[in-house]
Amino acid sequence: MMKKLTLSLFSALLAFTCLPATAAETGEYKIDTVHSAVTFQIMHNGVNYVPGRFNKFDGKIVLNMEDPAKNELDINIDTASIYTGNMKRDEHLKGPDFFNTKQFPKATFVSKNIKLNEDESYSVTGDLTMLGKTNTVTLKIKMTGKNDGGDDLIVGGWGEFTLKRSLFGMDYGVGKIGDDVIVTMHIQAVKKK
Amino acid sequence: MAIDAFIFQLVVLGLGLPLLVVALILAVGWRMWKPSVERHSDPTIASWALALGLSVSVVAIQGWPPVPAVVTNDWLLWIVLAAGLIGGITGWWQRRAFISTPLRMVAVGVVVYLTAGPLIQGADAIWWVGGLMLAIALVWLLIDFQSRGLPEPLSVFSLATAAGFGGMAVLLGGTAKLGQIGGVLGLAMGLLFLALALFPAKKATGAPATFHALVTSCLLLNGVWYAVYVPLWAAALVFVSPLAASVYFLPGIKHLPWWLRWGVAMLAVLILAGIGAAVCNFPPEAPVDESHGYGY
Repeated sequence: MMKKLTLSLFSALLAFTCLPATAAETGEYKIDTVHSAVTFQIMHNGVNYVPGRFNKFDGKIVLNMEDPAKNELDINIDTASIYTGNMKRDEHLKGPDFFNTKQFPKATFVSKNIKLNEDESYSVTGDLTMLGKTNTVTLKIKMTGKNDGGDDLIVGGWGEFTLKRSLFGMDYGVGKIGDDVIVTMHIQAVKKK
Repeated sequence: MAIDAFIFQLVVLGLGLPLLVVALILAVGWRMWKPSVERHSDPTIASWALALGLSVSVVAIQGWPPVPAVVTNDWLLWIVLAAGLIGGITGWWQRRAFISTPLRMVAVGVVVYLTAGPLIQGADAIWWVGGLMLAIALVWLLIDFQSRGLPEPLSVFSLATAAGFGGMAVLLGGTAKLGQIGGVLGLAMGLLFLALALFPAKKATGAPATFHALVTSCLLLNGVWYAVYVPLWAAALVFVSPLAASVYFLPGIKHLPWWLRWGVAMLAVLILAGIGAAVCNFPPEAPVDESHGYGY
């Protein structure tokens, strides 16, 4: 789940990174966590998708208008901030069976490559590290808007992707609880002019 | 009806098969067809039965651990096997304290260092690790001392209870895999209890206490340091609970019928271990995070 969340966040950041932009928009954007969300859903008992979210994360997007190949996305998620609306379940998710938050308090994503697709979405490939394991993942991101907020430049986007948690060693309950995690990210990022 | 893969892994491979392994090794190793014969190797067989049975459970539940270990749980399989070896050695040379004592101290030190060490940093680390090591070694010594006067099945029952409630404590604290392994250890010791109760000539001597000192302690330390809510004092209560069986020696109890003495001792252990485990089901409410401002 954490991986999915991390990926979603990454995706959103990447989407921002890939937005059509002017030279003034070049620079580093910080994720506005108050207006952003990293959520996930996972199949339970083959019957229903159970949702959750990470309440704490941060990250930055570096836009480089002269050389888009130098665009970057860097995301950190506080795994102990996982929230599914049930305290006992959240405890279990924080424990060694799932995110092992005391030994692995962070999940990170670092982009390596961003590509514009024919449908104007972006494919962002990067390294997702969780539970001490790193896997390369690709996120598909769509931009939802940008705005000149006076002193700030604001961009927004959302992305969704699916990851296999067992690839990161998180295999508890596979069978009852899905291996595939759908991660959705809604991200708003801000840069001072 | 097909068995769900998750249930198959947890119940059949993680619980049923390990208990079958323990029962088979005890039956063959103890030569159950000669129930009245006591053999010098009985404690060693008991130790290996527990080690091999629990190893099957650890592998079924956690999978093969990576080498080198990535997380503290990855050491559990090797700790279980080491407990079997040490229990076997100390069971074989029961009266040679110069062999068993250094072995025990080193084993406890290694378990504490591998389990709690990674999260205990800074100037206090040596006090924490040293203190935990001495505390566990002291409880091990006291349990050994107590077991010399207790009927052996009663002694094993107290250790099985602590292992089972230790598993429950870490389960309630947010660690289902370790919780189940604790439960399997408790049930495996329960089989040993039954075997000892049915065949009084057989002896397990220090084997169950070795698993208590090395494996139950490892599970509880993992709970305290890595689960979400297993308070150290609650884990300590579970860990020392077998010593509550000492009520068996109290003057007021001594003159009761044997079954009542057993019942009182069992109840004392159950209450102490039960309180320690139950506490883990009531974590404090997490404070609401309002560190981020809000605005348009």
